[in-house]
Amino acid sequence: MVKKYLMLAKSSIHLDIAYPAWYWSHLIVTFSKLVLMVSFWSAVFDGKQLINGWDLSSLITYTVLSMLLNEYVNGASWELSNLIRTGQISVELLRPYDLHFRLMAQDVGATISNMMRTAVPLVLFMAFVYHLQFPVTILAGILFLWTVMVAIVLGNLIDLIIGTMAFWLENMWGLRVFKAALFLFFNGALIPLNMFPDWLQYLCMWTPFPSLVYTPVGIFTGRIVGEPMWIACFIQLLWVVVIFIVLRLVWRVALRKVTVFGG
Amino acid sequence: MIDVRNVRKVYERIEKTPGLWGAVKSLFVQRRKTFVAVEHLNFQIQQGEMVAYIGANGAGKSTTIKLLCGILTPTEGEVLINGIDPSQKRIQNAKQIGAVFGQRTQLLWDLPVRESFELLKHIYEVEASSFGEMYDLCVHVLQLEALLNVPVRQLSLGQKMRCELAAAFLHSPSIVYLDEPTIGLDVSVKARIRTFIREMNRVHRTTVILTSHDMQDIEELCQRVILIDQGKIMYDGSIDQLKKEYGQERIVEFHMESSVEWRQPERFGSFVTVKHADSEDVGHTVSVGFDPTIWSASEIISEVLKTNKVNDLKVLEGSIETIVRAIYERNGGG
Ligand SMILES: Nc1ncnc2c1ncn2[C@@H]1O[C@H](COP(=O)(O)OP(=O)(O)OP(=O)(O)O)[C@@H](O)[C@H]1O
Ligand SMILES: [Mg+2]
Repeated sequence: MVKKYLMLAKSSIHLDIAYPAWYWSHLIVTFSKLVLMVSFWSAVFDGKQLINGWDLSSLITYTVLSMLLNEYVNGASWELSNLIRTGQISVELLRPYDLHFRLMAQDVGATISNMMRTAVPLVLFMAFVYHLQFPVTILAGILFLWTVMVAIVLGNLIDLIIGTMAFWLENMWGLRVFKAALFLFFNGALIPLNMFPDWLQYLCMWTPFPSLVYTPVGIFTGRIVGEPMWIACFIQLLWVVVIFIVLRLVWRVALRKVTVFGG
Repeated sequence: MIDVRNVRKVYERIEKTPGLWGAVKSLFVQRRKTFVAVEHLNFQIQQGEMVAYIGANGAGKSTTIKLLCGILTPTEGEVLINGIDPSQKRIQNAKQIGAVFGQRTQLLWDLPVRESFELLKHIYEVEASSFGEMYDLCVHVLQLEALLNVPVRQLSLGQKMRCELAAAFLHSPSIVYLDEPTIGLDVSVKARIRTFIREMNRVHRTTVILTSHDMQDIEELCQRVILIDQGKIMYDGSIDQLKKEYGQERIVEFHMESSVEWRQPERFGSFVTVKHADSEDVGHTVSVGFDPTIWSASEIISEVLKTNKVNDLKVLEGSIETIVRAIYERNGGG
């Protein structure tokens, strides 16, 4: 049962490698974004020791990791909405796999491959140039890796719900831009969430967005420690379950458009 | 075995009112329009049969195939494929069937052909030994050797279709649905595909349901024909019987000005059937159906031209369309 999804994941690793031009342009764009953000924070600090409890070195570490992670907490919404828009979805229903798991397997395959080839070299490079910090404890390091994996799954599930909207929306562009903005702002990729005013932090707590970036990177940089760390891990898993259930419900309604109304 | 009992499918479409105001209004009141695509479908198909499912454009062929595949749920009635309801147990059903839709690609992978076949092996969880045997047979009969390392997106239509066919059979399904598998292909590729389908049916006793507008596809492959018109089955039986009953007639169509009155040639008597139809783009159309063993098309044409002023004419060959039309007309349609 599991093997087919592993093979699907593997197939998309091949695909990721098949487009070198895209790889290089993506690498350069990501690199520029990182340098830009790091320069921005350096200018903001301007010799100050602490801002909102952050020193420059840990903030740069946070920025590099969170900007990179934000690139990977997306999923297959584009592919799914294309299947729906072109009617290819009907052929997909004839396959002996769960379409969500197939799309996720392929996306995770591509994500892992891209991480190895983009994020890892960039982190090493930035670590060398800007002296990034190590995880605060060994436990934090391990939990970071774990929460990154959960975040990628969660990001995929949210993206699949967005892709499913193509059953009702003719133009997905607006929704996708809206989602990207929400993600960037509320998952903590742009600014650490604990720099937000209290009421905004409180609002964020009720959304799944902090689980995507702030939880893993916050743990890595020692902003989330002790009991809150375990709670954050638990909440992250809770969101996976909730979003998965929502996805399946939305999907069930959407699929009726194919099987009953004929698409 | 395929068992279809009293199936009816009604499509429901939500009418879109044009304009911004229409869009706002449709948020509150939706106008639904229903359309009966097929009804009273009843047939059984045994393992190993090759059946042609034919009918004019829009008759309901693709709708029926989708009902059999489980993509559509019947509004009424029951479909059982080897005892499984395909729209309820989709994944279970998926393993025992293969499908090719002429207008859609199933090899959506950006991968070379060989790798996408390899992936299918895992997706369908086929044992390596039986897969290898099938793989060799497909590659051999469809002559895919030279295509195996080419990414699917770089294949020509005919090449892609051969790969699609292979992909539909690779997991040794017990039933394969082919919806216009030869559309847009040249004569030699068509012939190769037919050979392949015949071979699969002979060696593996695969049940094949085929829709096509190509009479030759049907004659070469199928013993049995199910003919559908406007969503209802009009004929279910052997192909020879079909041709004997309906295929005799040939038709010549005459287009003329609507204002001009038709003058029936006296020699026609009651030996030919004459139908009249009006349409906006071609004006008045007179279809003259005749038995080719008694009349020739040129005789019919010269007789008509003696007494009528005709703009244009068309001789319809003994195609499925003519058969469908002959049946339709015999059943009192217009
Ligand atoms: N999703 C849909 N919603 C509403 N009506 C539909 C839908 N799909 C098909 N129809 C209608 O149902 C009828 C049967 O369509 P179908 O596709 O089964 O025809 P077909 O026999 O396959 O024709 P063709 O030879 O052109 O492929 C047509 O009149 C078509 O307009
Ligand atoms: Mg069709």
